[in-house]
Amino acid sequence: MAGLYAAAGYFGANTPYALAARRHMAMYGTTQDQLGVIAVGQRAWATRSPIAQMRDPITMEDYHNSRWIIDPLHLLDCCLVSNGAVAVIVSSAEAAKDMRQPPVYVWGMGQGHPGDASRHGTEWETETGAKIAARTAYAMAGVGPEDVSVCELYDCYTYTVLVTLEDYGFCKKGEGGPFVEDGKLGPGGSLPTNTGGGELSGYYMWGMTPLSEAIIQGRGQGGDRQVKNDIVLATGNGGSLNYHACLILSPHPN
Amino acid sequence: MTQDTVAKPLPEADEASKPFWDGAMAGRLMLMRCSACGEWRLPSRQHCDTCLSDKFTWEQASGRGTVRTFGVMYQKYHPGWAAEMPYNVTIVELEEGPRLPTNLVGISNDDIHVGMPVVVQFEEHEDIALPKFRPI
Repeated sequence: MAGLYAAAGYFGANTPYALAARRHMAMYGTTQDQLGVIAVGQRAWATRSPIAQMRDPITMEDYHNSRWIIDPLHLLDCCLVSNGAVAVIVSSAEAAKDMRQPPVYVWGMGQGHPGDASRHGTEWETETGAKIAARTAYAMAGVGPEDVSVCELYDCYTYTVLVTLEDYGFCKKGEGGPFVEDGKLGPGGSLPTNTGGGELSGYYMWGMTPLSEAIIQGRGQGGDRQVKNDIVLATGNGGSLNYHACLILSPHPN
Repeated sequence: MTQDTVAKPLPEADEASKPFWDGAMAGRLMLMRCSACGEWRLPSRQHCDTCLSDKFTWEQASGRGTVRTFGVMYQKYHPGWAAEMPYNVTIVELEEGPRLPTNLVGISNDDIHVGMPVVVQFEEHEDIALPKFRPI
């Protein structure tokens, strides 16, 4: 069936994520404003990060005025394009003891891969692999969403943050919109999320964006954007919500 | 080359999908169906992704479905689509279950909503016909 998608004008990664966001809006009443709050909050974080690409604050008005890419996604719902590199050293806890940098301990990990998004009989748009990954990682770490101090979530789009929060149990399925709309993800909020600005405003280094910021926070090296860091959740996605993996990290040995 | 002279990208039938495209040219929406477990296959493929059987038949679908989700495209990815922007990209969930990427015709983008009932109609090109959908 090569060409069926192009024949419908269905191109790029923006399309499936717009379709997923629309489905969530239709099923649960999620609004454009609720997506916008995520974009504005992450930009507020980015203003505090010396390594963020986009450091000028934005307002909800800026969000709504940013051009459509594919409705319901504005430009400011979409991640950046960045050049850069990130390296992570993984070792035993023992070997990390005399390293120059403070260690960040892996408490738990998980993954969930729903696979082919186009297959019928799935709710791929609104229920992601994060659900399975969360269960595994929380069980391994011996923690739950109520214990998480800070989230570093893969945020290729604002919508990805919203649906990921639901699948990690921070709120019920469908309630991501009302959950985020009070600004709790931004600076000063009760659930600091994407504290370096994320992929929307910080830099787009794929899953290394949330992972790198999780390690910066875990080490206590966040400077103006440092938050409480006892339990750090870092997540990564691949494809169009086809693949998902996560780490639960902490500065403390478990 | 101006935008007007660039055609939209059109699919090419391959061995697995030929009955789908032949059906479209004849005004019929044809779907592959597993002979072993009855599961529908779209896109068409050699093996059933439920039971792995390689046995199948082609059956005519009703042509009716509902809008599962849609977006309205403002970004120019292909010059052949430039003149139609903004255009809708729609996933129709067929009565039989499979989901088809397509476009709605005969409706303003502002009037599209998730769950609306639609029916297939075929947009004919020289060598191929494309399934599009209109509101019922």
